[in-house]
Amino acid sequence: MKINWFKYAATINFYALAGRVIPFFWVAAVILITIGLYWGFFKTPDSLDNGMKEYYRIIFVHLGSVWMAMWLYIMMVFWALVGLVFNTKLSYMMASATSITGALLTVVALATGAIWGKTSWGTWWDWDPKLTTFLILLFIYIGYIALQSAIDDTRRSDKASAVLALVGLALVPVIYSAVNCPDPTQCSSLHQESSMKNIEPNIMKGIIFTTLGFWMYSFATILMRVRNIILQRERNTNWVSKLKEVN
Amino acid sequence: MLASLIFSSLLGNYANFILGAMSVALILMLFEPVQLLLKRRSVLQDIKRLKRLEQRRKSEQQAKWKTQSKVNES
Repeated sequence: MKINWFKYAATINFYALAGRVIPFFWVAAVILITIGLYWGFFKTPDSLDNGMKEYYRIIFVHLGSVWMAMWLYIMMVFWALVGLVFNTKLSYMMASATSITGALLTVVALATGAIWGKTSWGTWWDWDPKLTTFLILLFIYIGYIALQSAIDDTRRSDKASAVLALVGLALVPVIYSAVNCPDPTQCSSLHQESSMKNIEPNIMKGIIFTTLGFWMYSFATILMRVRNIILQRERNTNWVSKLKEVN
Repeated sequence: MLASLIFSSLLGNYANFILGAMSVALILMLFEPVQLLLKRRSVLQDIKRLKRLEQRRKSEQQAKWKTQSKVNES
């Protein structure tokens, strides 16, 4: 069966499709996050070989939110770029919907990281490159959201914020290389180097489950938000007034 | 400061600390769908209000035309 994907570039078709798939994403998110947290609390050792005690379990939420904050930024830039190139209004709406979930997961990553920092290093915050670049990522998200709401004309605000998102893309490889430093002696800081290669397979399973759960959560919230944006922007159109939920 | 005091008092107990971190994350993540549902409700109410206003305007216009045509006939 051949599916005409371009059909879903029209808001009327995408609105209906999103409404159908949102419940599946929510169910998947709840199941995966529950399994991941259960695995993290009950199937993993109480302490790690490198001396980390029980607080290492924050990793199950922290790592998923850090990855998602960066992936969602890339996703937001992708939609912004598609919007700029093809001038499709749905792409801008997707970029706008992605920004708020991305900002929220950046806050979650910073909050859980601060709690980890207090237990592990004895301080809530350190101005090292890894933490600082991540804080700048949050500021770019906030800047994008603020710019969108500052301009009344949606076409202009979409284009201006899309350009801002593109400029901010330069930060993602900086964050990645700050955590995965090619020469650890050159970037010594409180935040440890990425230890994904040495991680126990048992702990890795929990991380994979929670991260997949975070993906599903992000899809569900983004689609919910894009439906709200579609309704808001197209409230004067004929198809919106004919919707079942409006009658 | 208050958060710092609360968390410092929990420092000796890692299990509570982890639960604290998980709660912060999950409360933040639960806040989003609740906010989205409330937003959707308000947007739908706004559209319904606009639709009612539009229908009222149309019926008033029709009534006006009918009166006008009766006046013209007479």
